[in-house]
Amino acid sequence: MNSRMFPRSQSAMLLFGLAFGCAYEEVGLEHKDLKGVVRIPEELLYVEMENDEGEQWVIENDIRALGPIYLGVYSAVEEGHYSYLHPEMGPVLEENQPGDAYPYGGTSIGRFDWGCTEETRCKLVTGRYSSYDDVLNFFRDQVQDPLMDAFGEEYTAGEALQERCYEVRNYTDDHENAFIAGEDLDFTKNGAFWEAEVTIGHTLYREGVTVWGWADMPSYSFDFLSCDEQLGESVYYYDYNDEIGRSQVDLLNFPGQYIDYGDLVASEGAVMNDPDTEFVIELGFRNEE
Amino acid sequence: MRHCHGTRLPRGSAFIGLALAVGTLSGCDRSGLDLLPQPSVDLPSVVEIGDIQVLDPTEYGEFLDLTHPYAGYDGLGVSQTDPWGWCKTPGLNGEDYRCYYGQIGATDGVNSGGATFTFKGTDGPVCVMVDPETVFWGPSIEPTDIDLEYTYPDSYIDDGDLDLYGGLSSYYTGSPGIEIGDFTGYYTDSLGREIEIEYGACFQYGFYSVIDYAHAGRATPEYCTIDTSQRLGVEYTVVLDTFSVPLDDGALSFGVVVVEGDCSLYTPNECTIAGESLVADADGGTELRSCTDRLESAFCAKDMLNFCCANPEMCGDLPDFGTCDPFYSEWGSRDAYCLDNGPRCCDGALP
Repeated sequence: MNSRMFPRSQSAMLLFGLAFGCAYEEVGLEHKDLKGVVRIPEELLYVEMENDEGEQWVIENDIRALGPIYLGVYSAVEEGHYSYLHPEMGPVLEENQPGDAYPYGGTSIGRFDWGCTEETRCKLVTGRYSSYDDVLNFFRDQVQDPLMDAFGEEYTAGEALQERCYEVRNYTDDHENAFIAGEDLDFTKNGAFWEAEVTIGHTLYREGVTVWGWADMPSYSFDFLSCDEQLGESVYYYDYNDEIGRSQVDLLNFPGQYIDYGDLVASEGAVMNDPDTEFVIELGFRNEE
Repeated sequence: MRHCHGTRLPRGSAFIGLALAVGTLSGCDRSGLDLLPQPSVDLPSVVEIGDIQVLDPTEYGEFLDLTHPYAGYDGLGVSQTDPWGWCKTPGLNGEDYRCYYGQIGATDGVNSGGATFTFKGTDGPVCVMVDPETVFWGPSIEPTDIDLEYTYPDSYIDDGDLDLYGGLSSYYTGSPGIEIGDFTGYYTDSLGREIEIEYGACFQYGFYSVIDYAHAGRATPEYCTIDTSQRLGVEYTVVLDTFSVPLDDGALSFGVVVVEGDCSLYTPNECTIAGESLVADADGGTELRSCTDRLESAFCAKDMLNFCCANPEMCGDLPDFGTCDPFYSEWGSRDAYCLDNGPRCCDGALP
């Protein structure tokens, strides 16, 4: 009989305890999720390219040329350190190194990924390519440096690159290949802007914090300064091995060390007085130094 | 008649309860105080040494000649050459000492203890080395492939441990001779957030060779390279933070040397600073603790089994599995061994 298994007084205590358990709320936490939008004016989205023979061309208004966008939450931003707006910095502790910006939190829109060939190390960013063919077309037509297979032949079909990834990385599904975004590209066109929604998760929050960021744009040879080619996961496939590269570890602490020619920088910081209000960051300054 | 069993403990339960009470009380017999050396009335737990000279390579060579007078016998015979007296001599630039040997006492268990000293920047890298007494090794206890040299255990009660820190004196938070501090500073951003900053400049490599705040264990030397570039003549403070004090006498002795150049030029180890194990002498000073130079020399020569079997008072407890059988099989007796290996016996002849 149920009444013998759970006497009335014990049932009441159980309900009482459960009710208290339900009352638990994570109030008073110092960390918040900040949400917002990053906008890039399309007229600033271009890359000046040059090959070994000195030929020059421009990749224009192609979101696939956009590197990762690094967003940080800082105490403030200020003029005077560089030619662009830069986060407030702490004291200079080492020679030839700026002060640490001591970010409260941050995230990125897109990250470096390995495209299953050595040439793609530190050149592919997630959220930019819809398919394998999209990757091949971009490197062939825009970067003008087609991707080659293990025998030195140009990849002409996306299926061949897909097969390479499945072999080398033991993948069984395209979802495992982070650089293939399918329909979930990070940016969409909105008038004269490319826009991406973003959440800076679990950042330390104080009233008045400033969201600021920049986009790492490639160099003349389509290299990204914010990527370290020597580090990252190692890939082994029979007698082939490669380091897949990864972002530098202190990008948000010392952004000024990684912002170079052509990078797009927030021309204004978004001051947050309410963590539930969405911020808008416009990368409206192109660094020419 | 109705019996109320519920209020009476069975006889077996009473026995278990009694055994539990006795066991609990017996457990209280061990306080662990024997593992804590008592603060010394003669030795302060916080010591300010003064200013120490940064030796150039030639002077450092002189120091090594004094601490290693016999070829092939690292550290043996320091009592003959007196490196302590050489170190006590004022430095060439008016520093208090050329190098330093000394002792500090145990702390009260509440406050940090240790020693501090200063040196002047040379506009280049400077290597700071400290060696706490005496030597330590982990006994080999593998059932197979046992390392015979280390089957005889170390005597852990004669070992101390100092942790090395250093940086610009302007960042040091302690009060020399009164209170041990650190090199932590704070930066407050424009929103009022306080951020802790490590201003220390003495980093030691950990197991994975990444610069971090690694520290060596008992009796093991510590060293670090401090970059004093563009800070010629600027004062640096070095902190030797007491981690543990030898249990046998409650006094932690150590040796310190500061040399021009990166530590990789010198590869400091247990055999670099010799004669750091000291005891008080009759005149109120210190002298070499008996036979510790020979212990250190045997350790450096990886000749511990013979040394410990010949001088068991210098090592830990003799294990009960025939540790010294190979020694006696080869030499027959201690006297026979010491006749041929005087430097390896506490009462043997020097080379």
